[in-house]
Amino acid sequence: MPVEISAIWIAIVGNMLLAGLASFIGVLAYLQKRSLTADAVSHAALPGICIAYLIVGHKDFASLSLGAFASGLAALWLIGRLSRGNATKSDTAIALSLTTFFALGIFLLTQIQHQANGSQSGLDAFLFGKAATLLERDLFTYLIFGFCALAITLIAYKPILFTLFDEAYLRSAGFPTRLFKGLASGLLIVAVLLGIQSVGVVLMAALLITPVSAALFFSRANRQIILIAFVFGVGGGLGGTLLSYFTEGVPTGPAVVVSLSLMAGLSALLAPQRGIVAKWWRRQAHQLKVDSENALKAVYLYQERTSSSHTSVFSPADRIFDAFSPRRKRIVFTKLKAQKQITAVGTAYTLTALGLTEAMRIVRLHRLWEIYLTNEAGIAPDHVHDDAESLEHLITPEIEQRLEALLNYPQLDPHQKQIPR
Amino acid sequence: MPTLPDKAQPNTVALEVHDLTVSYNKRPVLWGVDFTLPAGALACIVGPNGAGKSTLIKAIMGLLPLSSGYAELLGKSLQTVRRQISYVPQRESVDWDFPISVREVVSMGRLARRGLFARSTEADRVAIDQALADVDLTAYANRQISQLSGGQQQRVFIARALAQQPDFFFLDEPFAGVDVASEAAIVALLKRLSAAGKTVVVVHHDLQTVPAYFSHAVLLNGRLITAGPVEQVFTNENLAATYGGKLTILSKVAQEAAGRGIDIRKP
Repeated sequence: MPVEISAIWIAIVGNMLLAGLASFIGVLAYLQKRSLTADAVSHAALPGICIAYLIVGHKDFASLSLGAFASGLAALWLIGRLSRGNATKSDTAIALSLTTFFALGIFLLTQIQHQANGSQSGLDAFLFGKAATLLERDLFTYLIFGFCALAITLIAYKPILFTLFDEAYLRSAGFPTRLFKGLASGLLIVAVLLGIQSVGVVLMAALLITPVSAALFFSRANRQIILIAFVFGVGGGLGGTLLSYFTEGVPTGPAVVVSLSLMAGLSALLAPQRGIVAKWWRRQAHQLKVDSENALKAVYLYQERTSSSHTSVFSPADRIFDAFSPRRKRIVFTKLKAQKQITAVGTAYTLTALGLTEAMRIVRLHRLWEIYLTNEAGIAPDHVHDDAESLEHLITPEIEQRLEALLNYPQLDPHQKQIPR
Repeated sequence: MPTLPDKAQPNTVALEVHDLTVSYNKRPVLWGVDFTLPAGALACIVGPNGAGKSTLIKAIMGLLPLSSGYAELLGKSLQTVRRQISYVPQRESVDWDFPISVREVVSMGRLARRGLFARSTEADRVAIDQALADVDLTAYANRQISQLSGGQQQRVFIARALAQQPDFFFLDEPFAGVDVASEAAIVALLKRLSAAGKTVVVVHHDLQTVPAYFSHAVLLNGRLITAGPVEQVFTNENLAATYGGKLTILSKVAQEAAGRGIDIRKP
């Protein structure tokens, strides 16, 4: 069925284009801290569409878009007007506008559907989107609008970015910052307009906001955020359109948003630096380092207490390791063995030269830190142990050197214990 | 360092403020302020909280509408010399989590100098590098601003102003929340600018340091108390007048005007 295939292609290309553009403009909305406003503006498009339909009497892309643009603008104006006074805070203003406009839209939509021929109007597709209704003609409109919006965004990118960061400075230098802010708002409405046919007013905001949220897990540099958000947007457009085509009766809007949210969820989970897994892994690695350093320290302190030689043997069952659970003990001993800091002697273990050096380093850092807190920070000697317990694992060789120099290479800690070197 | 501009010779009047009145929501916060500063002045604006110090520099730069009066820079209106003025806003006035790099912020100064659509040139790159070096932030050029300390943030703002290579600097509390070392570095930099003939106006809080840091002082409390060279105007008598409480009747009338929605300077 060649017709079917070309319809798929139109929907795919149209949605990828739209989602890519929306995610780009979504970054600007995020930078303006106007994610919620974007949601309000897209809901507000509905009454405009209905009124335009009532006036024109049929579904005409240009007039419906004009209607949507006008009511989007009206919502923006209302939000601005309401939040200017002291009576209404901006979140309240946004919620008020969103619900008022959307309720009006649903009211009108229901009226239209009860008219003769009204149910054939197809306006309900604007609620959740219907990519199947995309025509070649619409694709062409998308292309023109999309490229215009993209061109404006690219040309005005720097002034808009700078205005959003520090408006007062640019204004002091004589720049028309209101124009730049207006441009950012205008782009927001245009992005919403382009999306409402295929995604629907209810979910359009997700196209703007979800890609940038996902991108923020990967970078904090504005250009990279835009690039990554764009890639996510295009991917979500593609995935969502396919999903909606191959599942029975799922509108495009929810399908695109589901695939975008999936990508955002995966980003939150798997992003290299800020992802949940990466953070968990770092915490585990640190905990293992702390545990094995504490194990070495326990051996050293035991030997110091009993004045036994540094080659004396110990076993995991010894009381000095009581703080560790059996499972933790196994992990720590495996790690220390693998790093050749301890070595097996029959069923027991002994410190290697490497392990001894490491144990001495930990004890040294602990005691240096206790002196530092006692002498320099004026904290009582019986209060310094706990801080030293956690900080000894964090002090780098560089800080250690500075500590040693500052404290003038001391011999004894505040508890009169020898500092091992 | 930027060179001495030939138009700004010492002893010429660089800044003239005449009968300046500013209102917020119809409530006057500055009344009829008059003063002049010579080119190369390193001036502070001091006064108690709510005295209108920030308001004064914002009004001079055209960021606030004037109820009356005018400010002239080098004998010209603000509009004609805007690009030669650089503003260093209060550090807290922006979001430091904004995803933008140190270098990008400083490049705003070049945009301010050259206008919107000029392509960036080698001269821009050199000016940005020089500005970063002047505030000792070269190593931080490619960092995101969210990674900076308070003192570093302030120095980024100053580097942006330097990159603009202006004749006038207006700084709003550049020492607020800044460490001692950064403060000393900023003061040294401002003194070099002043020696090079630039006119520098600083909203300042710490009276102790005024004689050491500044050549001129503007004492303000809703109205002008006095303005001039520090050794002449920074007297106990003037300070008492500045900090000795507001003129209660004046602020009462201002309240009345606001309450009735009357713009006192408009008939």
